Amino acid sequence: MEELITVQDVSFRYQEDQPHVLHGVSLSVYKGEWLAIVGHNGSGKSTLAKLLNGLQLPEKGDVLVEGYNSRDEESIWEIRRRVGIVFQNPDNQFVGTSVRDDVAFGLENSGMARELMLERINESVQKVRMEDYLDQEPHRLSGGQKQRVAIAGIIALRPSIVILDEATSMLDPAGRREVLQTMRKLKEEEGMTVISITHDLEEAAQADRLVVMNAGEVIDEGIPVEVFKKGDMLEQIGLDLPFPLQVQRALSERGYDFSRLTLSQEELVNELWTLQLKV
Amino acid sequence: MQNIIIGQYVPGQSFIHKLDPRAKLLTAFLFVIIVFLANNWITYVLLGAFTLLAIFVSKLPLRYIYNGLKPILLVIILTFLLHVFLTKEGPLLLDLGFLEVYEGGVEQGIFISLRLLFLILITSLLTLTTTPIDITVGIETLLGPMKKIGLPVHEFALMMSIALRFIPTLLEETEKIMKAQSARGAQFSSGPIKERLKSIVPLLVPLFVSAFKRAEDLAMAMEARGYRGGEGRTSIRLLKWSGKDTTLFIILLLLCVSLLLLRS
Ligand SMILES: Nc1ncnc2c1ncn2[C@@H]1O[C@H](COP(=O)(O)OP(=O)(O)OP(=O)(O)O)[C@@H](O)[C@H]1O
Ligand SMILES: [Mg+2]
Repeated sequence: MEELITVQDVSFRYQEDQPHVLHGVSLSVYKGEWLAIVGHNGSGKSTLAKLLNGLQLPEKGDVLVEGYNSRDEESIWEIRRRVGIVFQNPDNQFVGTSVRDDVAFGLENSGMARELMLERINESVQKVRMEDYLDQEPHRLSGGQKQRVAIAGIIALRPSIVILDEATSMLDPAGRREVLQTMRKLKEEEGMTVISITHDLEEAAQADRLVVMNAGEVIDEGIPVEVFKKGDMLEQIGLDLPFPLQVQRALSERGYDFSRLTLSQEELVNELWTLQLKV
Repeated sequence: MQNIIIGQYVPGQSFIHKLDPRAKLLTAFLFVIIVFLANNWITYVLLGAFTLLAIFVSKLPLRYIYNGLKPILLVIILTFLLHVFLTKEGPLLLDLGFLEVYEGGVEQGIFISLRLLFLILITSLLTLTTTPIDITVGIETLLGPMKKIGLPVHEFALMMSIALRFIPTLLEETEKIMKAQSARGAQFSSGPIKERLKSIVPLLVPLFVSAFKRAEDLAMAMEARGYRGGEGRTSIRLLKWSGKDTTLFIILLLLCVSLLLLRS
């Protein structure tokens, strides 16, 4: 698998006189994967995201994006074009006075010719199904729609990686579904690499790979089923296990044996009725 | 609330609506200058005709124009009265003992108030037929050359457009905070003035805190999307100078020449 991002032993703090926020973090991101990063509040997830596209520079260690090191001043713009971030608050990242203006913002920054810009804008708003709202003003859009516009503004730049930094946490369930579906489609159809930073372990369970952070360190990494086997550890660092898993754990405590971990409701239901068959 | 982001803009398809914002801005600017050329009845009639024609062509409902005029009407009337009472020229028209009205005063009063009226009408026509963002883009392109002498034209335009974009958001937020504070017993719309002023503080503090947070977030989001100042930046907004705009300038030129010929 092609490695898109390499984080090598990175330490970081915001100010000299403050404690480190990241301690010796190492991490790889591979092409075409959906990587979820989970961790308690303040564990350094957003900080890591900012390091991944050069908004912050490591104090120690290196961040490499497709071979560009964020320490090289010239590389920064290449890195920012390759790694897009959708932030948490839908309102605070909407720059333009209309959907078209907002999607154009990144393209304008890159100095693209207007004709090409219009093409890219049409293409990307279609991908997030916002083509009917091009002239709409932001205060007439729902949170989910705004986040989709933010995604359009990022994919218009044809990045290789999109980071969702709790991009769905301020949305209602419908908006959340909207945004995640849009991203899944982009991943399937365009081969986009997605890094999803989330508190929602149920969502993280759907990822290809999972990274667990605690107090500025990566404490675990692997496919969700493997990571969730360490349920106690996850609970210990203050994460809420997915509901199906909680049910399963509660039942196991009461002496029921399951053949495998159930991370989704469907899996749990299947396990439960086969359990009854065995009994 | 919507009124604020679109300013006073009244959507339409008239000749004036379709003009390039640069043409409209320049016209309004030039009009402010040539208004001062008028100094007799015929030149004022000419200016009036131009203004009325512009209003007619814009197809705006007169109500909007009147609304724009309303706050300034008092100033116009006051100017008129001041001139009527204070200018002592020409034959005496009226003598009330404590107050004398001369013909020159009435004439001056009418001229000066007409001048004010025309200025207000033409400039509000600009804002009524152009969206604030178009005005911003127009100003940015017109002042573009000033970048060379270090004027932060791009920054100013960006600031304007971000302000326009966030006004509705902040208003919405104000409303929300007001409701939250009302629920805790704050009174914004009744009670003595002093109490009401006091109740503004718990409204402004959270509003400012959140505005700063928004500004910080926005700056980060802009940087993340590769913003690095105005240099080398292109724009999605395209201004097109068309035959209409040239026509407007020819009319303006004719007006200017006629004023120069007819003024005394
Ligand atoms: N701009 C900043 N200046 C100084 N310290 C900061 C700044 N941003 C974050 N921190 C600190 O860095 C630590 C990690 O913050 P970070 O935002 O990366 O956490 P997080 O994992 O994203 O948390 P959350 O789940 O709440 O978003 C926190 O202790 C926080 O107080
Ligand atoms: Mg965060």
